[in-house]
Amino acid sequence: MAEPIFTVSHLNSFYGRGKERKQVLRDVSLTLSPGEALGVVGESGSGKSTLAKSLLGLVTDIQGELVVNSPRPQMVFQDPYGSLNPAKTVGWILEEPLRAAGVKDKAERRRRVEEMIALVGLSPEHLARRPARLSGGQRQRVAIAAALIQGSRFLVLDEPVSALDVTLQAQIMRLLADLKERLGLSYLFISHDLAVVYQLCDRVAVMTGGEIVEQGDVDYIYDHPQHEYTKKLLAASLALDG
Amino acid sequence: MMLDIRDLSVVFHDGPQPFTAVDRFNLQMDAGEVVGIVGESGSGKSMTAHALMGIIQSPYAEVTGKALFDGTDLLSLSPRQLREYQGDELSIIFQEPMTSLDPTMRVGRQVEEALRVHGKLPPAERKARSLAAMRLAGLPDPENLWDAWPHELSGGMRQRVMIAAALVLRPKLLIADEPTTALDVTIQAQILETLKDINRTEGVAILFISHDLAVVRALCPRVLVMKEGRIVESGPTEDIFRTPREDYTRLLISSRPTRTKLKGGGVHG
Repeated sequence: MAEPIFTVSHLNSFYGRGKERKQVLRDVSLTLSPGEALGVVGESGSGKSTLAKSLLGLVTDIQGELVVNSPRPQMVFQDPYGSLNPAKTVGWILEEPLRAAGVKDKAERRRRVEEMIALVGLSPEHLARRPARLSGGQRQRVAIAAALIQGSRFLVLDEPVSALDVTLQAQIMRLLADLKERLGLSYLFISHDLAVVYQLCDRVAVMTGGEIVEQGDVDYIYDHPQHEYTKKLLAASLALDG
Repeated sequence: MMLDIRDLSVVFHDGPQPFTAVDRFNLQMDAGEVVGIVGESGSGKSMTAHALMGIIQSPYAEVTGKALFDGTDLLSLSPRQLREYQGDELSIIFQEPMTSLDPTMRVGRQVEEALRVHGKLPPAERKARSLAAMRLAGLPDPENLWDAWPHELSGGMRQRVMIAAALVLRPKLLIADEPTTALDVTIQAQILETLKDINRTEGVAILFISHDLAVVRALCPRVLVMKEGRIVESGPTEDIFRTPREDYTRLLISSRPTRTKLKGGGVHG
């Protein structure tokens, strides 16, 4: 069997220091296989974003085992406004990681940028624009392109469609499904909405209060939710389906 | 008829060409009715609400048409007259309660604010009415929340504080502009229930604005679909769900995640 993308065993994560030190994750165990999409679903404050930050080394006060085998894991956030430099053009934003990675040949950098912009469904004319001149959906496409440009094959997607209109949500979800298949990507997909997770993910972990209360095949969890909290999340998603 | 909007248009004159954000919008609404407006960003749905409230910020905006509220044309009132008129008659809540609440003001005082501005009531009665509005907005134990700061509350609780502040003058119409969009699905469902209760028990009419037709369907018997400033389709929400006439409406319906797996394969654009 192939080496997992990451393995997390009995992970505890903490914020703050001294008397203020607060445990945010409790005994979290999770693995991701290559080519798999794993959903993490829970409400604000459930610890799901802390899990993502722990995986990327952004939370350092941790106990337990955490091994990430995929090189250069990247994160895509809910609001691409916050993660894209507003003063730079899209072309610069995509080229800079290549420059930083030591790709010296300018023509080679440009070729890879143009290939990537097409892959996320934008055109070369977007390269000259700044983020403010893009729609929310276009900005999220740029954020995804920036996450992939260095060749990362593992993305942590933290509520990547929650700030978008439903029509744009549907487009970005289709793009993520498409990229996963074309490039053989692995995803950790974080969301508060079980219905969104279902569309893309093979497995799902349900988090509340910093713990994983249930995890397994997404179809199984949908049809046989065991935990009260999972049932509540499911009811909230289904309530809108009429 | 409580609200009669006739040919409401909003045109911006800030570029080489005038830009029509809202194009001859018409809506008739009875007291106690719940109506939804659905559309994407840029469809003009929020701009319509902002025009009714007199809160379009741009000096380049030209608002034309009529918006008769119990016979008074809201669009003909001066900003000051409009402020006095509002609250008693109509109020608005927004998507992001953190930016519309004052972070330096305790919760109770913010709920009370409109009563204080409108004057007349003695402090004890102001507080009693504010606490009642907080209860109506579904805030548990409002006495204890009275001295809390906005940042101490969750997103859902903050939205409830906004609802309480909007209800404290007992308006006849509440305009809700994407009030659940920034919230978790579980909290969304609770806020929608609260709005339903407010409509049922107090008879407050609601004009509910959202990009999500499924959310509109959960609350509004009647809906208007907006695209590029125009109403493209309107009618009973269930009819529009079952037999949408416009491609755009079909797109809005099909965008909602259903229990299907997305497959990769060349879907771009």
